Amino acid sequence: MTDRPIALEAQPVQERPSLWRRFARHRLAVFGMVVMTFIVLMAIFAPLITQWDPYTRDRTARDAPPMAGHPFGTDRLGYDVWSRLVYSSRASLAVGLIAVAIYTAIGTVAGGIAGYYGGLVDNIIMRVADTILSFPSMIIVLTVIGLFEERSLYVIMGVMGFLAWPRIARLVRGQVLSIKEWEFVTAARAVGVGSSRIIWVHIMPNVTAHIIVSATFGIASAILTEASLSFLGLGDPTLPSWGKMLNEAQSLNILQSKWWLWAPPGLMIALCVLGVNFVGDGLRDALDPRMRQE
Amino acid sequence: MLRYFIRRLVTAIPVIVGITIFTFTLAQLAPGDPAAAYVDMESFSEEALNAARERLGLNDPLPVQYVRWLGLTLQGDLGRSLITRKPVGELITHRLWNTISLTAASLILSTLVGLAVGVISAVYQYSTMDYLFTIVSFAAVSVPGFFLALVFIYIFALRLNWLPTSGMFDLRLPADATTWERTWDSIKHYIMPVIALSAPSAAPLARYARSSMLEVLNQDYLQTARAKGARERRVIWRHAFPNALLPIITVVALRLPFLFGGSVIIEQIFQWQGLGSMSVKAVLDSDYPIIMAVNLIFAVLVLASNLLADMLYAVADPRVRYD
Repeated sequence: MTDRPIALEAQPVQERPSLWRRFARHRLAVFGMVVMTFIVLMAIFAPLITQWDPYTRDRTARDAPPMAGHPFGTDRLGYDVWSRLVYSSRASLAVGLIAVAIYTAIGTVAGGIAGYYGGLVDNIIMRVADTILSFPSMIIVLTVIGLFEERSLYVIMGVMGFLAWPRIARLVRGQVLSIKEWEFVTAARAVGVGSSRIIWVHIMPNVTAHIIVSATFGIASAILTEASLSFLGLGDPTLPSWGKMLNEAQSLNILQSKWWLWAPPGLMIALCVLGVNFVGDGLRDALDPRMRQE
Repeated sequence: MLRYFIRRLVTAIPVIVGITIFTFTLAQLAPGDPAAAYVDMESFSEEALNAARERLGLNDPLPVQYVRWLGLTLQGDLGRSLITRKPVGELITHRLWNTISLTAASLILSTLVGLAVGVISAVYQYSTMDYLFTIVSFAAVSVPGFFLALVFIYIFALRLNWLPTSGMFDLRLPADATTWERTWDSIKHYIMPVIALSAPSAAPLARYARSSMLEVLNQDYLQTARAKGARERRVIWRHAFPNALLPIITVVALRLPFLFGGSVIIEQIFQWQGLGSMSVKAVLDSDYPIIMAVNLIFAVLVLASNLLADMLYAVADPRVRYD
């Protein structure tokens, strides 16, 4: 059932408030948007808001508590925690955006083809998707990343990107299956429009809203996956990342007496993922309230 | 119904084959030579390694190797660890139980909490409690499991000293401890890992339960029940809830891969002797026979639980007709 009164739905289309207005009505989504804006600005202007280079150790202050010059102290090697915290946002955002871009592209193409053509092609694509989905994603990502000698950020993005497409493919396939029965598709076919043009020009624009919403939530979970990998010691060893900062702070001694080493990176991950999830929820409501039921 | 069951089983066959091919392919891509685990360390030589490869059939064409590997796997022979040289099956069996008990407890807890929260949110839609639950649900899926676990350890183990920081039992427990003492000790070690593992799964279940319940609450037959004089509590729990529960069966089964994935991290933090922590160590050691076995077991468990859920759903909801 829709959450809104029926009268509102019956109004003419022109009177529907703009996309932005519908989004802005969702207070949590606006909060999420503000948080994300801050984190993106933080990633872009990292050198301007930090005093220390994240790759340079302060040899005069190792393992220091918060103090002037080091607002969140330093770790046991002398790296400035604030600086590492700020620069880590780059890795998280990059993995989130690029991994999701890769698998959304693959999933959309695979799901579009499977849904439109059906038959054997559909069967093969969906059985491959079922196979990949049978493996818990965290464990299969871990396994495949282990195959690489060098665990750079690109490898992590690539592995996540190539293993996470089945969910989008299923979503797109389901939508295409129902949309291809609509009359405008039959009409397009009747006037001689080619199959690929029907899929990409006529059908896909109707699936975009679903894809955007799903991709937004996907960014949140990709950021979490990257953080988890770094936490397990399987992230890019050269870059600062929130997960890695928590990995280095795992001892009970640090947990008990040095909150500045573990609380800030943990809160940053939570805030970043929460922000993206709120934006996703706002987009879902703004783009199509009916999606809520799925 | 029977025809549906058979058809559902038949569609699972290509997926099972896919799972084994995928696992086998990953093992082929893995660095390290599985034959090395069968060569005596003292008398290690190229010839000995080659002889082992020949004996194990590792020089045969890949399809031949795949079929042989499949046969051995079906008989329970999963190869040997490259590090400890022990049979993988032996290393895995006792850890498998630890992981299953951890994930099963988490599945039950997240289902109970998710259903309760979902039903309350739906019945009191748009109340303060509903909004509060919405925000808590978002937080539960957004806070990384390892951070939640660290916060738990900080609060309940280090500050309040109520629960043990990690492990599965207290090593200082006296040898003559009673069964009750042992059980209580074990429960205390389960509390934090189970809650930390359940939280991210309880939240989406609560959202599904809420929308499923809202859908049912709007149906006319509930008015009929009220008109007949049924009390509100009875209307909700006896008339609405069972119907709202049906679609949840599938959703609960779909949480399993997330719980297995989450167990990797939770087991690592709480030093739980399960498959998850074992696979992290195996990946870091490039001990591929172990990693492959763990992947295979998890994938088969996930597939089996999905099959079971689909069948349960078909049994529970006679309205669903499969042609």
